[in-house]
Amino acid sequence: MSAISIIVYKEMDGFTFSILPSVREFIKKLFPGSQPASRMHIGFETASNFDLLESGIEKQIYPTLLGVEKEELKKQITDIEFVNYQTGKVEKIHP
Amino acid sequence: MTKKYNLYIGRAGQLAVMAEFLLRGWNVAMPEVDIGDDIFVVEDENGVMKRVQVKTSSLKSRNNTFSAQFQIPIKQLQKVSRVPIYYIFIARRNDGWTIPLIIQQEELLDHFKNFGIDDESKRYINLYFSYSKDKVVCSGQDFTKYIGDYSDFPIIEH
Repeated sequence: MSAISIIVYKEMDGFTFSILPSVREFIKKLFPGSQPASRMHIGFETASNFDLLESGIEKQIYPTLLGVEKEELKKQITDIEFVNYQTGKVEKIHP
Repeated sequence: MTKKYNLYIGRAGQLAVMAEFLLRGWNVAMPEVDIGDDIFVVEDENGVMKRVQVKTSSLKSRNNTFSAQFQIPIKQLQKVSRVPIYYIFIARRNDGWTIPLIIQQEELLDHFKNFGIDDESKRYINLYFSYSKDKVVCSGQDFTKYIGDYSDFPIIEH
């Protein structure tokens, strides 16, 4: 079981979520056939008053950004860290 | 080398990189206010824009190798927005430039992700490039694959 990090960056009109190339390679190895993306952006129209832990939006991020459904993710990943370098905040979520 | 000369060589490097993009068919623009991005590189046909930060240095000779030092602000490196930055490193040697090393922000952050994260006082990462025949090593890591890597900037025919 492992942990992975997703970088969160707040912009004027939404949030960008990204994973580093090493994380992408790690996911591909862990879940053969998966197609993780580099980054995804969510506009404020869909994430206003965004609170990561309460919104539950991470469920949509997993398949889109990581290329793996939550149920599959749970089997191999213990923690997912959402790292926000702007605030220094790290939110840990168990998938 | 004086501080003033650093300004001259920095701008010369930036213009050299801009010229190369133009030759590859990409349009270029410089922001009027300098807040981090050196160049905007644009594909005219569809408005695709990429952000470029040019890092310039002078090569110092040592035995059969050359070295150069570059500085990157950590905060800038960590801001992975929806339009990531491409860092381009070039160094001046005698009367020519080295082939640019082109590294996308997330790739560079991946190499140095643990640097200074726990130390708020660290504002910059110092990168030491060592150039030998067909090989570039940066702070102990092989950066050869980034030499002249224009794969995200393919030639556009006009």
